[in-house]
Order: sequence, then C-alpha cells, then structure tokens
Amino acid sequence: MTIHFDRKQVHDDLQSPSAPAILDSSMRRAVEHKHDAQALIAWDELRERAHEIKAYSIEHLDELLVRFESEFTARGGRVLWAQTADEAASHFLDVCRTHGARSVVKGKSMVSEELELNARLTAAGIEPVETDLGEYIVQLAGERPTHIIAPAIHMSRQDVGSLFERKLKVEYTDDPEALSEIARLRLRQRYLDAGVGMTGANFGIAETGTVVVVENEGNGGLSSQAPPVQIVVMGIEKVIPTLDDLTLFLQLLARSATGQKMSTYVHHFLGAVDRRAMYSIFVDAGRTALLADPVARESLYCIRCGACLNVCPIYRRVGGGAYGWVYPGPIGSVITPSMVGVDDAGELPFASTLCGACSAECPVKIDLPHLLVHQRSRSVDEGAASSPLENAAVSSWARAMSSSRGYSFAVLAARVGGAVSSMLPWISPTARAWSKQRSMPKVASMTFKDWWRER
Amino acid sequence: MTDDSGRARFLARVAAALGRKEGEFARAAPIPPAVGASTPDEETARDVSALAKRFRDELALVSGETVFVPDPSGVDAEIERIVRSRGLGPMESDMKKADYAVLRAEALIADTGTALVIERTAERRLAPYLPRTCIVVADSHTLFPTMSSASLAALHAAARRGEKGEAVLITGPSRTADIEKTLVLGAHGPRHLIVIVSGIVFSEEVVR
Repeated sequence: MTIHFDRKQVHDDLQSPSAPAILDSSMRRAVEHKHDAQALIAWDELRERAHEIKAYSIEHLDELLVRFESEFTARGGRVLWAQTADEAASHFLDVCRTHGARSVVKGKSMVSEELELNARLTAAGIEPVETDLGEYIVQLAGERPTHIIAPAIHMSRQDVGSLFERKLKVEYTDDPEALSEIARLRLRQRYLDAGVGMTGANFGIAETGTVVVVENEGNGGLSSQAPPVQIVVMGIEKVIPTLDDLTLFLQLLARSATGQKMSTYVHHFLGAVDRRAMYSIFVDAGRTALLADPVARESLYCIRCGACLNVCPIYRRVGGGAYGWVYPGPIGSVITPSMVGVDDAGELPFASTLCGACSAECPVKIDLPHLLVHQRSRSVDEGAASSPLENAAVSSWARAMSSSRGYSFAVLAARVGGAVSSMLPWISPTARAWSKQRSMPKVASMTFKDWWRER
Repeated sequence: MTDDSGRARFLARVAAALGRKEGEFARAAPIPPAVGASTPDEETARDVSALAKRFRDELALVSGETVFVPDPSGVDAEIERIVRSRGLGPMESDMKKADYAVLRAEALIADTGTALVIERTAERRLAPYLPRTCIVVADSHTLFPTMSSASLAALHAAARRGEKGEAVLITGPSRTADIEKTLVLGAHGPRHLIVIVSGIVFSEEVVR
C-alpha cells in the first residue's frame, strides 16, 4: 500500500496546535454564508431524507455498483475495479499508456490524493496538472490539500503571491483576482494539450450510469471535456439509486460546502461522444473495511462537503495538515483509522472534544460523535491508543470502586496523597501538562461516613 | 486492466462486507423507486412573469444577467446587440478562438437562477467553458419554479434514453474563492453569463 501516514508528525501536530491565523476567520465566514443559505429551505427535513437515501444506497451497494456498470458500459464507457489504491493507480497508468497520454489535466478529487496519483504519474513520465485553483497552488508549493473544499486554505494571499512569483516567474501580486487570472492563462492550453482528463465524482447514478461532478471554476468542465480520454476516479460509496434522488443532494451539497444555493456547474456525464473514450475506476481502498463495521458504516454516507471541518474547534486550531492523511477534521478522524489501519491512525479519533458541532452541521446527518467514540474504543481494544499510565490508572480505579474495602483504601490514599502532594518539590512532566492550568480538588477534612457516625 | 476475476473478487468483497451469504448477491438488481424523491415542485398556476422576474433576481445574485425579448424572432437581434455593445469578436465555431458562445437551455429554474444545457456533439462540448462570454438562449415556457424532477425532465429523459454527451446545470459565471475565501468571478470558465429569455411580454415595471 502507498499510504504515507506519519504517526509521529500527527502526534506532534496535535500536541502543539499551530493553525495559520487565516484559518479561523475563513472558517467563520464559511459558516456564516452557509447559515444564510440554509435559512431559506426546510433544512432538517432535507437532511433526514438525504440520510435515508444514503442509508439505502449503502445497504444495497453491491446491487447499485453492478447496475451502474451495466448502464455506464451501455453508453460506451468502461468500468475498472480497484481493490487498493495501488491497483487504482495502476489502472490509471494503464489507460494513460494505452492512449499514449503525455500529460493529464485533473479536476479536484480527494480520491486521487489517496492514490498519490501525482507522484505515480510523474514517476511514469506522465505530467499531472492540477486545474482547480486551490489544488494548482498546493501542487506548485509541493504540499498537500488541507481542506476538502478549499485545498489552499492554509495559505494567505501573500503566500500565494510569492509562490507564483518564485515558481511561475511573474511579477509579485497578492490580488486574488490577478492571481486567479495568472493561473487561468497558464492552464488554458494545458487542457487542450492533455491526453487524458481526470475528475473525481460527487455522485454516480446507478439507474443511468451517469457520473455527476459539482464545481464552481469551470475547470471540471474543461478537464473532462477537452482531452480525448476521460477518466473518473470514484470511491464506491458515491453511488446513489436514481436521478430523482440527486436533486436533494445538490441543494444540500452547495449550501454545506460553500454556502451557495446552487454550485455554478453540475456536470452530468451522459456518455462518450464520437471517438472519445470514457473510463470509471471504482476504488475500494479500505471502504469495505468501513462497510463491514455496522457502526462505522454510517461514515460512508459522507458527501465530502467539508462542513464538519469548518465548525470543528480542533480543526480550526490545528489545521488540516495535522491529521496526517487525505481527510482531515471529524470525518477524517472517523474514516482514516479504518482506511489506513488502527495501528497507524488510532490516535485520530481522540482529536475531538465530542462537542457535537460536526453532527449538527452534517447535511446527511452522520452521528459523528458516536462514530468517534466507536473508533476510540476500537483503538483502545486493539491496543493502539492507550498509555501504560492511563491503563494503570483506569484499572486501579476499577479495583477501588468494585469493593467497599477498596473504596475505603482509596479514600485514605487520596487524603494522604492530597496532603502530601502540595509539599512535594517535584511533579512529573506528564502530570504538569494537566496541572499547569488546574488545581487538584481539595479532599474534605471529614468523610461522609465519619460525619454520619458522629452525627 | 481488470480481468473478470478481479471484478468478481471486488464485488464479492463488497457483498461480504454487507453480510450477504454466499451467492445471495443480486445480479440484475432492479432500481427501487426513489427513496425520498425530489423536493415537491411548488407547481402553482404558472405565473410566467413572476417566474421570469424571480429567475432574473436570483441570477443577478450570482452575477449573471438576464435579458427578456418578447418574441423568439427577436433573439438573433438581441445577440447581435450584446456582441456589438461589448465589443466581442465575430461569431466563431472554433471555441478556442471564440469570444463568446451561444448555448440553448432546455430548462430554466427560477429558485436558483439555473439553466439546463445539454451538449450532444463533440464539436460543441467546450462551448459552455472556453469562451469568456456565455450567452444562453431559452423560451419562457421552459421556466420552472424549483429544481425538481419536473424541471429536470429533459435531462432525466436524455440520460434514460441513453443519449450521449454532457448535460450541465449552469448557475452564473464561473468563480473561485480558493484564495482566502475571497470571491473572484471568471475562473477557468466564462466571466460573463447572459441569459436571453424569449416569448413573454412584460409590463414596464417588471422589466426594469
């Protein structure tokens, strides 16, 4: 597997939060926009129905995948199946080679990040070109997207200005409009020259084999339509039954992701015209691990709007880079341990206050706090996320509380300990992290039992 | 590329994760009726001028423009006026060189200011995206109040009939907010979007 998850880095990042100053204000603005747009519709009712449709889709995933395949094939496309990220990347490279592609223009796709597709293409001598402005910036900087919807949210306009000055040899400007125009002019010819165009998918419609992509910049339209070969890379959880179901999701997605009533472009790829070729790569890469877990399964309802990131107090403090892999925020903390393994990512579900802001925002009503707690217990059960100190503390607590003798002893110990600890000149570094901000509770001078006896 | 055994293994794994028993996995699954269908269309008596006004106002909120012409025969003259007044180049069928493209909408959705465009040929597939100005032409009888199965009937029919090409819902000119969440109009697609709605006569105060 090509998964680069740096456990140590994640641990350090979560310990010392250092989100760029720009993040919090951007997130606050995003949430305000969203609430304005939500005020106008029966939001809760729509979420409820979206949840039901997703629940149905996931419970019937095998059937829907087969139906999608037969419809997509009937319209001149070809479906490729990839169990792992490696397999998906190999399929992608095979298609590129078959059609002799030298470069690939890419619409925004989180799945392609899972595949480490850019690195794989480059190694094979094929040039990947990100076309979404945020992704283009991140690619130029040699970084990774830090937000599902806004990949370059961690960079200021000045950062982008000096990046363009350095990498594109243009005069410095930090005007977003001018910077966007520079990117547009650079990319225009790239669409026309590319051998393959790639997009992700927001929805796959089983009924008609239609791939639906939602975007604002027009780069999704150009990436999919300009090159002679189109490849869609799609997680298997993206399939929904019918076109009638889609309408509802379009309203929820636009509002939750960007606060728009409707995204600028909703592309429906109906089938390849003329001699153009169209492929769909269905990617598992750990999704069946989520599917097989009756509790975590609900995380497959996610439509990748990023709303749970925007309101998460942890995300807003640490930024997307701290989560170590492709999907940050509450949803990332739930799915990453199942997708890359509890051994590596078992710490992530603890990066949450369980405040519930995420589930209040989720447009498909995923019970994220519940799933976070579920993943925490898996981490502990599999020994991936508990310290010896914590284990010792919890098991002595259990022992003390399970018999009256144990309890009396614990009370005595607490009284002695409380009296002694204030006189001690030292305190362990582990304890200091906690005690720095807090004082120990005072133990009462008399126990309730003593008081009762002497009353 | 995937051989059949790869595909079979893949699907078996999905079925197993769902707890299906061996061989239980459905082969030619019928599609059930939509679980939650779409928003019920607020299909009142179709007040075309009210819909047109709402469409114009919603599109204006996302920086698109709407022009009304009373008669379909007046559409060409209106396009010519737009081209002249904005100093756009001559009509071009090669989209790489064109200053503008003219698209035909099969439906307009008032609630969001959205136009449904279906491009069915290879020559036309870049028309919605490459030129900087996009002119969309539609008849007033294709105006619908909300995004629904009724307003998207043309799209759904095309997909179900197995027509090829691309159907796209367009709501305003292209845009990005990828730098500090600051809105910039005219990202990779058009900077200007003008929708010409033909076939209705307004009283003066509605048009203004």
